[in-house]
Amino acid sequence: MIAHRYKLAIATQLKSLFRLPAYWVPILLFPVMLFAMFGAGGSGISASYRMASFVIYGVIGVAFFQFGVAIAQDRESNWERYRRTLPNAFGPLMVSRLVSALVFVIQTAGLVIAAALFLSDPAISPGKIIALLLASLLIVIPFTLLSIALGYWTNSRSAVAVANLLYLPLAYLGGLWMPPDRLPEGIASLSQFTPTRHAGEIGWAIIGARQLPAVSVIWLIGFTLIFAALAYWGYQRDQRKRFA
Amino acid sequence: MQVMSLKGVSKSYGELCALSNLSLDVTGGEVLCLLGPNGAGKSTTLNLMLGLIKPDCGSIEILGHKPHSNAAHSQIGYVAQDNDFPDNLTAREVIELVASHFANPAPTDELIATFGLDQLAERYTGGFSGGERHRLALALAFAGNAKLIFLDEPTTGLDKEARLRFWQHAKQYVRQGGTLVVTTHHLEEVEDIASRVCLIAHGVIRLQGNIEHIKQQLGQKLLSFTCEKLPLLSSVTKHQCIDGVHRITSPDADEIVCQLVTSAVPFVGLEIAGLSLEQAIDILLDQEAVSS
Repeated sequence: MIAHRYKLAIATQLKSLFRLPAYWVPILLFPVMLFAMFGAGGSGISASYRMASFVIYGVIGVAFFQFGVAIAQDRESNWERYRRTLPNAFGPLMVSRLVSALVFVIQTAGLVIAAALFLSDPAISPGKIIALLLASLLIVIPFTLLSIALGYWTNSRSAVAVANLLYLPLAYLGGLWMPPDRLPEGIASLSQFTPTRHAGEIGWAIIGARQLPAVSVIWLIGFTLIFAALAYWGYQRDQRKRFA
Repeated sequence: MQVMSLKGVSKSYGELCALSNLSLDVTGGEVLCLLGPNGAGKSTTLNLMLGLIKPDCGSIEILGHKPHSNAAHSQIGYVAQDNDFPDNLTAREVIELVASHFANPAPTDELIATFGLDQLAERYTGGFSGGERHRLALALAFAGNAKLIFLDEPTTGLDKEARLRFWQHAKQYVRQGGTLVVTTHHLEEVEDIASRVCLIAHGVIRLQGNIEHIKQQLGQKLLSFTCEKLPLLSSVTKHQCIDGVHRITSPDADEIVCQLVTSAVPFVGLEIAGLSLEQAIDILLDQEAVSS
């Protein structure tokens, strides 16, 4: 019965997301489309760096929309309130959300990798791709927390706009759309302070078979702590507003 | 068997005291009706019972469990006043999702038939009207075969047929030993199913009584007429005079009319009407005030 409950929660969540093209088109197709337009072509290590950038860009997008936007919308829905009166509701809800995030992560990353193999000649191996995918799952943690914070600090009407307003400039500033050394000068100096840049650095190190840059790991841990605090603060504020 | 008990429960929102020192017991097979004006504390009471909020003090138990526990939640069903569902799931999918949380759920097809959802079962809930959403919400409350079901304004937005159908099902549920806690503004709808009424106003229980007691008051009549000088009358439960119009409540309207006629006092504009529930409750509240 417990297995049935989890299975049904996951299946229902996936069904409802895939029936909503407005949700999955931007998440699944935009990264591969942008990659095809701006990142594809070339060969060797620079082609694989660009592939890694767009994989990370896609994965971060899933975090933003699967969590932040969903939380902002759910907070106002009577359905979520109703769900909290059901027995054992929390586990299936969280697991179904994580599993569907994973499904989207694999698909968006898979599409970018497939496009890279088709359109360019990257220097990659299956081992590197698996390492990159595993690393993305860790890299995505601070962004998931940022998006949860966003879910609590915005509402259902503003969430999508705010998510895009953070996500797109952060991707650009972090050098996920074009290599950081090609960014305009003023912007390149800002790049160092974005979480996306450090996420990119980790991805590039994996693809380039270099040692993980300790500085970027520390930066990301720092961002994780800050975003966790923001998320917790937002959650507390929401609880107080709703129940106090 | 005691199904739910609230002991000395209080809840404040900042300065505002929503409930103070509320105690209430509900036994199995009972239909408790929570009444009260908007903002009286009904919703707070319901939210506390559902475990959606925590009381500042006092204790609440549902079948011996804390109201927010899984053990309590697995024994309850709930219909909210406003309901929405994931837009791109069908009614059947929503029912199955909810049913999967319960150990012994009602068969989905049976619920669909009982709540008249046949035409809606395979449609996405996003296209449902308010009444259709409400019917689905009612079906969900009964999906878990719960021992205790909370109904918050259960028939709002339902047409007459759906209403009748719903109360028929609710009655059957109670006959089979189920317990209902209902908030409503239309007591006439629940008159023949409610066993007890609890009136909440300004965060306290003003009146708690068995429905028979209230119905007795409902058997009284309200007479209104204009007259200069009212003679001394017997069998009067309540008398009010506003701008020369006398309003008299009495268990025996004919008797009052006889008295008026025999006293030969001139009166005009006599009207006799049954009491509304609100008026009956007002009378009970007056009696409480006098006796305490």
